[in-house]
Amino acid sequence: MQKRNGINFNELPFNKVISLIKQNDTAILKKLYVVNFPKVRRYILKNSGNEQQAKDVYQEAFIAMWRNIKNNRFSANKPNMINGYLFQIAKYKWLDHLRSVKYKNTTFINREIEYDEPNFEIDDHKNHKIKLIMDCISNLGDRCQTLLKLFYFERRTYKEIAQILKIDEASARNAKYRCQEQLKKMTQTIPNGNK
Amino acid sequence: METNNNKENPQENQDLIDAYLLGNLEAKELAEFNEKMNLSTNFKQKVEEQKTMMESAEEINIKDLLEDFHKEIEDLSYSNWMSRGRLALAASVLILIAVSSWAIFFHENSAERVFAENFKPDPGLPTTMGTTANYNFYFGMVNYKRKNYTDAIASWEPLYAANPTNDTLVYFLGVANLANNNPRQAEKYLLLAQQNSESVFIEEAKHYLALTLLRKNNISEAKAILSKSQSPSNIALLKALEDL
Repeated sequence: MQKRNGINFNELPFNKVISLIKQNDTAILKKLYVVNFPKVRRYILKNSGNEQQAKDVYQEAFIAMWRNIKNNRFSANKPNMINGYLFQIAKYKWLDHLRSVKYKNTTFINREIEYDEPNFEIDDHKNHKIKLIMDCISNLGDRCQTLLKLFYFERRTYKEIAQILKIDEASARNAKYRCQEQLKKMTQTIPNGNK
Repeated sequence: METNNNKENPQENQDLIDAYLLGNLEAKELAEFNEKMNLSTNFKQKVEEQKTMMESAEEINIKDLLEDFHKEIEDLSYSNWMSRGRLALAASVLILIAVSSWAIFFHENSAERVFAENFKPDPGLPTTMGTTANYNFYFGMVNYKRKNYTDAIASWEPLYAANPTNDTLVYFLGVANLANNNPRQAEKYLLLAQQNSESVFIEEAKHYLALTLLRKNNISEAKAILSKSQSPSNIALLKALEDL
């Protein structure tokens, strides 16, 4: 995973920004996170929320944005449009929360409650499956968790993983295979885990 | 038409699917891969399963990363706030809170209550791994941030045995032990952590050491530890202890 300091993503070509997000580039993700949080926070605090809710909703929205970009569900042509998209998802999620069962008997005077749903999909079945697998990953040994992180999240090569774990490249490849097989077995033993 | 995958090496298959998912296939390989998916629903299903597994591995890690980002935002907000000359105001508010708390709770003041009100484990360090990062320290920090303090301590103790002067390590071992309801061990590590005057954790180490002593009901020593500290949180904690 590449790392950059002081990055200005408005100066990068849009395709490059999208590509960096898809590669889980820490610098670009951090920039997006830090730049957009204040606006979402202000919105949620202004609309009956608290700090913790602002953080939770924002992080959910950020992950939804990130996942949709990875799955090519976001189409735009300017980096700034990502900021608008993220805000729209956060706003939608917050308004959805306000409209949830807890609040359904409340009459809102705030006209902002009327909103257009942004173009992002929530696949509940897939979300459920991902949550189950995430639980299984948490139950893997530390070494396997690290291997999967280095390989899939940080996008390290086996050579780099071998250097970090102080093993040889073939062992890194074999270890990753075994970890993934272990994870597969774990997901097959949980209810609704293999479908 | 289904292709016969029986003779295929499962590890090579996994590598091939990874190469596809990570966008590492050449044009010709990609065309062959797509053809294979079209011909075999079994293979296509394996690709989907591995994709979901990869997405899960990514998501669990981006959650940790977002927590790190958020911690930085909070730290920045705090330092900006303090740099605007509001220390005096903060001190006044803290004193007001302390006095009000005393007025409200004077009948139930106890070391236990002050501990519960003031103990919040250090949020920990970022867990993005550099190529030279210490693997076991990193393991411990991941567990620490997930509140698996026993596992964190188990990862860090061997490192401490090899390098007992590492200030970061002794500090986090101290906080983890305190969070894990082991004030005796916490005291051992935090005493070491606050002795290193060069350490960036010195004020925090004093804070958690005072809380550790408080946990052991040793209020006078806790006050002595805090008495020379200038950090706002330590001043506030000392004030709370003086009211006991």
